[in-house]
Amino acid sequence: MQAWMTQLRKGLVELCVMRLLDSGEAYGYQILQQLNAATGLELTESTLYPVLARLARDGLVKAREAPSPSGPPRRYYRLTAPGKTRLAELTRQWIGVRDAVDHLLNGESHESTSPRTPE
Amino acid sequence: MSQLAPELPNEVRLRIDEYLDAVERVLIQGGVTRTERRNIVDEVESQIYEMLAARTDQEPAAALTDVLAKLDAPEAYAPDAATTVKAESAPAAAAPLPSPRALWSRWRRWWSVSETPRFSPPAVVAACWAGGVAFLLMAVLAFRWPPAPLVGLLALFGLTAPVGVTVLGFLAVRRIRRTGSKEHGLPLALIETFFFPILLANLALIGILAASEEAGLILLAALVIIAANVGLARYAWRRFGGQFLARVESL
Repeated sequence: MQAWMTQLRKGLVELCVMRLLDSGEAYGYQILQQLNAATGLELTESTLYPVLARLARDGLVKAREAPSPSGPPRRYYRLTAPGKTRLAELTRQWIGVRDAVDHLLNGESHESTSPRTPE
Repeated sequence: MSQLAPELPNEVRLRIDEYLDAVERVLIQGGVTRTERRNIVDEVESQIYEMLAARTDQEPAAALTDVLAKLDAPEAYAPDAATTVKAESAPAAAAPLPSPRALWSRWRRWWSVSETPRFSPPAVVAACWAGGVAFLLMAVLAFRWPPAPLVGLLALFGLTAPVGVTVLGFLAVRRIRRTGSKEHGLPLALIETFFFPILLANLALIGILAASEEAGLILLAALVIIAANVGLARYAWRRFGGQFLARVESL
């Protein structure tokens, strides 16, 4: 169960990170704190930072460095144009999957939502 | 490291570096690219300092202990880690048997050139091959009538060993030199490269000696045997003699 939840969360992290960055740039630890505060996904750094590195590699986010008062420079991430396109696509897919699963869990079906025409 | 980094005692910095190195090792083993690795490790380092900055009321060493306890264990950075492992987590359950694909993936990761110092994989495989042949040979000799499968195995691995071990030894030498000695085991790799060619050359010359009745040919073969072995010994001494003497003097 724990492993299943972890995999599910990992799949959602990309969407959540991109959605968060869509509203403004943020640095790694800040993203972690904001995601945990907003979503309750209980993400940890070992899940988030590889996702950020992968998004940067794929050109979906861009990073800039800025000095930090606490130590090494902070790396601020922002969404790129391809990132925005990807976010829109992922959001559409997520809504479709969520609605389908909701229907299933609530005991609804295509038959019940789209009544048959009498023969 | 930024010039804005707070002054931390050396032992605290060392502990941070140890943790970051452990994370990087897991990422390397997981086949994560250098750029991504650097990004991830930099983010983790940055987070550690952010968390330390929020604990100014504590001694640095105690604060770091607190911070590290809240971070994921380095193993959690493995790309295929199924679960998030906390540093203080309970012992892991018995792992299921890896699939052939996972085994192949592990083999490829192990075989590929690594940036962390380690023994050269081709040298290890060649040593196992040669050692296995020696073991099989002893096992066969121990029987008056050795079982056919044992003889078959010896024939298979024994007949291919001269080529296989030599090629692997050569590969190991080349990799060790190309990696700037990050992969080590050069003496073993050289022995693997030259052992079978020298052995076969010696056997061939001894065969000529045994079969020939012509004094000139016998003399020539004996001279070639001596020259080949002396030449190899001289090369080995020139290459490793200095290191050997330095090691002896340091004892």
